[in-house]
Order: sequence, then structure tokens, then C-alpha cells
Amino acid sequence: MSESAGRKRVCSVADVESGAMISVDIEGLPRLAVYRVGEEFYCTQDMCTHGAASLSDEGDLNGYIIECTWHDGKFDVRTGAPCALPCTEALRTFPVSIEGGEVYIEVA
Amino acid sequence: MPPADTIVIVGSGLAGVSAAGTLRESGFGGRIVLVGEEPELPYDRPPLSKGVLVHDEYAALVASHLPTDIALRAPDNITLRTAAWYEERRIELMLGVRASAIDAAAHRLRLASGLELTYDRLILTPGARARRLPAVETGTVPVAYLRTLRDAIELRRHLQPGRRIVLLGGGVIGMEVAASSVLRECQVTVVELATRIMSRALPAETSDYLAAYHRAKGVQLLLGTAASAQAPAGAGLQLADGTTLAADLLVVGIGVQPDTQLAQASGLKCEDGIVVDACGATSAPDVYAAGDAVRYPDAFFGRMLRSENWMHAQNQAIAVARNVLGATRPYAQVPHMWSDQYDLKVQVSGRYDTAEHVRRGDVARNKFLVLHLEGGRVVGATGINEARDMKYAQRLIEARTVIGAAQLADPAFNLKKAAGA
Repeated sequence: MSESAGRKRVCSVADVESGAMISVDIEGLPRLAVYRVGEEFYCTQDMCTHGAASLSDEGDLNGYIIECTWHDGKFDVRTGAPCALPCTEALRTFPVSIEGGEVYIEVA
Repeated sequence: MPPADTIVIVGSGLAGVSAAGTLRESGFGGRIVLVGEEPELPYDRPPLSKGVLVHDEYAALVASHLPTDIALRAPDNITLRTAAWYEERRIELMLGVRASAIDAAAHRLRLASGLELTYDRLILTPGARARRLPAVETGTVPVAYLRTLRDAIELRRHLQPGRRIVLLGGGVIGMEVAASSVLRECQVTVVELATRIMSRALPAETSDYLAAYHRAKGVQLLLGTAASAQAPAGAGLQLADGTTLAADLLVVGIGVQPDTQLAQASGLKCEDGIVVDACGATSAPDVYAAGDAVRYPDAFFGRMLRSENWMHAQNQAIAVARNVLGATRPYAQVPHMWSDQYDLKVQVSGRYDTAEHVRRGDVARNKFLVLHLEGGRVVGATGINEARDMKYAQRLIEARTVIGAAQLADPAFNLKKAAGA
């Protein structure tokens, strides 16, 4: 099945280890971070909303919480919601679906 | 403790805003009033020596995604919270307002206008002021200090290509402004009394590494050098050894003084800072304090201390706000500071005055971490562009994990795993 408008392939399931994340560049979108928690995948913007840190390069993922190591702020990767200061603005998130070993996001 | 209806916070910087937000988030439903002397919506200070001075001028540099705050924080983008954030939380802002006296017995705060606010609890977060150097203020070369947004905007005007900028003080402010001035194509000289830069913040090795980095960028670093006064006829800055440095601008960055004026005038115990206990309580009933202005018992160093860094201002304010509402959790935090200079993120956690040190990473690639060990444990860490590993090191410090130098020295050793979740 080919990708439909709005639905974009970001990576293969095998590209991301559990408890880890990768960055993905899709044309027309800011750099994305794809996280794997067990068998669940999530996708948010890669840049922290508080400073220019790359969450995939410099973040620390523990469960569903991504900690930005610049100033100790935290977000929940499932919703993008900030859960520790100094982060107060949510990360943009993208709904994720898995099909045939590939990870897709829905771009509104 | 009787319930509070009105909590007033004096000081609208990071500590004051963090306290206000924490009160509301902790379920406090009463009135919160945040009084601040500066007229601007509360803003973050770190960008004042970086993004505010440099942003917009160097698009290419910004586009190359420097690992610093430079890329994101434009002058109009440094507010700590939006105006809507305060409204949503019913935090009343009284900005451009100076508090003049506390009547602790009557629970009243008098403002300079004569207006009085009655409070149930008072939180003082007045911060600090830049130390002045009157000896160099006489003369025709302009002298700048850097503490407020207004200072930064004024300073930015002077940072034009070819301008000769002389920085007095090689501390955090001095070196960050030096880096920003280089990026604005100025000719930069730093005059520092000590034999190394950032001597209060960094171990010697890291001072030397940074000094070399600045010199390679063209900064003239004069260490172990004292300034005297401005030379006659606008010739520049005269040094103690008699030589004169030509200058178009002098920037003084010699540290800060805690703003204890209100506390002292009101009879609160002060000793180079507003004295508080581990929960943030001052000598006056129902009056608390947090942040740059405060002298407090530091759990990590085991002595009374005044901390001038961002993490402390935020985290002590959060802890104290909770205690104001009835918690009794002493504030205890492994000290942590950072400084962004050029494309270097410098971070320091814990202590570095130890006998044993292990370096991980690659100095030549400007990405390395030094772990400071004592008694078989990591008690401190200093990093350059190693934010993630610094986080793991900080966990090792907090957990007092027993770990050996030999393990840490092995590049294959998994720091994340050792630090746990």
C-alpha cells in the first residue's frame, strides 16, 4: 500500500530500538523525533520548545517521558505536553500508525 | 499553620515566576500577587548575553544550528511566560512597581507609591544587581553593565563591526559577552584579575581549554591583570601596569550583589544575602525567600551559601513555594550551571575540587566530559557539548553511586546504564 496524502512514512520499525529515538527529516516539516517505548511508537517535533536542543540527539527517554538535557525540562511523548519546568509549551505531535513493519505519521 | 488567602511575591524574575506558578499548580486557590521593579513582562536573563546581542545579525550561523540558546532566543522572544499564562492562573502582575517596606508583624507590604498590600505569606525573590566599578566610570569611553534587558539592548547598539570592546571581568558574563562580541565582529579584549577565566565556576583545566578557544577566535585575554581607570582624553582603559588599552566601550562584568535592600530595611536577618533556613523561611514570620538574593544552608556543600545560577533560582523557588503552602521539604539540589559560548555548551555539576578526574570524549572535537571522583564516587562533572552524558553524570552524583575511575575511563562503559533511569 502506498503512502496516501497526509500520511507519511517516517522509518521502519527496526530503525528504532525500544527506549530510544531517532530523528527523521520529512520535506515540508520541521525535523521530527520518533520514539519507541516497547512496541509503541510516538512522534513529536525534534526541537525542544524551550531552547534549540534536539530531543533525539540530546534528550533522555525514560518510559514515555523525554527529558531535555539542556535545562532539565520534560515532555510526555504521547501528547507532547510539558511535564517539568522550564518547558511550558507543548511539542507538536503526529498520530502514528504501523503497517507492514513501517512507521507512518498523519500530517494534518 | 493557618490557611493563606493572599500570597505576595516580590521580584518578577525567574524565581518569582517559578514560585507563582508552583503555588497555583500545588492547588492554592487564593490571591497571588507578583510585584516586580522591572516594567517588562518577566523575562529570562541567560539570553541577554547571547541571543539578544547576536540574533538576527548572523542568520547563517543561526541556521547551522549551534548547540546554544543563540538560535532560538530573539530579543522579543525571551519572556518566561506569555501574558495569557498569568491570566489563566489568576496571577496578578504589578510590574514597574518597587516595594519599599515590610511590616512583618502587621503582614503588610508597602509599595513605593504608598499603596499597601496585606499578605498571609510573603515570598522575596528580589534577585541581584550588577556590581559597579566606579574607578572606570569617569571618562569619555562609555561604560556598560549587563543585568537587565535594557542593559542588553543598549549594549547591542555598541557591538558593531570593528568596535574595540574591553571587558572587565573574565567570569561567565565577561566570557559570554566576549563570544557574542566576536560574533558581531568586534575587536575584543578581556581583562581579568585572576590567573584564569571563570575561576569561580570551572576547574583549571576547563578554564585553560576555554581560554584557548577564545584566543583562537581572536579574543585578547589579559589574565592576572588589573584595570586602573580610564586614560585621559578618551584614550581608553589604563591598566595597573601603566599601559593603555584603546577602547570604544568598556563592559564591566565583575559579579553581582544580592538585592537585600528591602529585607534589610525591614529588619530581616541578612548576611551577604537574605538569610533563610533549608525550607526558605526568613527571620520574619510568614516571610520566605529564594533565588539569587538568598543565603541558605546548601545540602550539597554542607554550608551556608549564596548561589547565582539559573537552576538554583528556579528550583529553590519551586521548593520554597511548596513549603509556603505547608510542606516541610528542605531544598536540596546538586548544584548545576551552564554557559553557552560560541558553539560550546559548558556545563558544571557538583564539585570539581577532587584529587581524581576521568575524562571521556574528544577534546580535539570539542565534545568531552570530565568526571570528578572522590571516595570511589562521582561528586562532580564538567562537560563541553555533552548535555546528555552530563545528565547521566548528574544522576550518578545524586545517587552517590559507587563507581571506579577505571570503569569510567573505558569509552565502552555505558554511562546511561550506570546512571539508571
